[in-house]
Amino acid sequence: MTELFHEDAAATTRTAFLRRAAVFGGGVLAASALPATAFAAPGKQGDVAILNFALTLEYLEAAFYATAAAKAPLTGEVKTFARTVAAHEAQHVGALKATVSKLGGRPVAKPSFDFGSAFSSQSAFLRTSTALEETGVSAYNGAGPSLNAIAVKQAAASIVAVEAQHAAWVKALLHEPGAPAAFDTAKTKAEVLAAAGPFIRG
Amino acid sequence: MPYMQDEVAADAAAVDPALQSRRGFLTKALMLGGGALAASGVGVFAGVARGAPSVAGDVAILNFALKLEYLEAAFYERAANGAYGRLAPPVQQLAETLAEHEQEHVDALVATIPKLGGHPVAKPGLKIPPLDQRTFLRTAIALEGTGVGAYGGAFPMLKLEPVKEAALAIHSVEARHHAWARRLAGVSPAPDAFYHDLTEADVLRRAQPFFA
Repeated sequence: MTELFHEDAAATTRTAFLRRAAVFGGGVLAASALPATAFAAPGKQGDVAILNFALTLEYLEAAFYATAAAKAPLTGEVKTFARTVAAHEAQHVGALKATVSKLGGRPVAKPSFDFGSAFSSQSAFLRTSTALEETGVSAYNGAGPSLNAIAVKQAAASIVAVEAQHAAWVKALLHEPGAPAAFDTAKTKAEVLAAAGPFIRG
Repeated sequence: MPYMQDEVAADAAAVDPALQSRRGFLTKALMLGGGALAASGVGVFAGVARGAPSVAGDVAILNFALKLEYLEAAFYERAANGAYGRLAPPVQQLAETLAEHEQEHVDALVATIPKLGGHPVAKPGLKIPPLDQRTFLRTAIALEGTGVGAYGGAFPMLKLEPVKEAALAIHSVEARHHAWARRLAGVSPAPDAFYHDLTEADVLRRAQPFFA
């Protein structure tokens, strides 16, 4: 069915490029380099694998914000942001664990993390936060099309929307536009691992 | 902008889908609205949502999304051009950015629907009431919340991989817009850990008052 999406004549403007990027998939590149199911084969096992991958990311985010809220020298709205997001990510962890179990899978164990100097200052915290939130949005957007069960798709949609809210919030705290482009990108599993890997000790 | 102002918070809460309230401006607009949309886009969406995913279903969903995007694009284009009065610089920046984004969404949907063998719906007639900066932000929060819920609710019903990818690429941007507008209105950009997708009836109720 992908032939339905063959491109028209050369589209060279930025708008046309973005349009193609969205219409042909957040991952034109991913689609050419990998089979359509970049994350896992569709089906219950595939859903479990994707949810466990998401769970690892949520563990990472939950640990990051919990530590930041407790230890980093944060003030004002940045502190409110850290506390709010810490609570959200903890709820995402809980929801994903429950869902994996419901699907007959076993939730992955929480890894240990190393956030380096991310808690040394407010600006260091914000820089790491924006990297994590952008990774979270693009990871869910990349994995979403490979999900199988409707309930799992609904859960993923309800989480990625909140990750995107976090992403916009931290951008505002960095004095950047909350939505830098009309279309969000999608990351493959390998790209997500490359972004999140440095924080994971194992 | 102060982070939290109770009065504005209450107003914005009144139009935010997550809070399921029916007070304030949107309720008034709703009472003035007709039933036009039920006969067109939303009715199709309802049939699709209950059936198995299909290419025809994708077309119906994308056409429904296109109507909402036309509405959003026109709304922000007017705001950016001063239709709702002089906006504070951060609000003006929001209006200009969202006007661009929503128009890009319109363009993407108009380009995609024929590739699936469908016909893009015509730009609907719109009925946007006079607003000021405060009510502009409240309406933006309501519209973006509706967009997030509509894409999130439609995503599980989609059939084709590239359409799913496109829907997700737009869905999370609508969520960014929602958070951005909420913050400018002085309410928490992320009020809950989970975004509750809207039902078809919710989307209908929220969008209908704006269609002529």
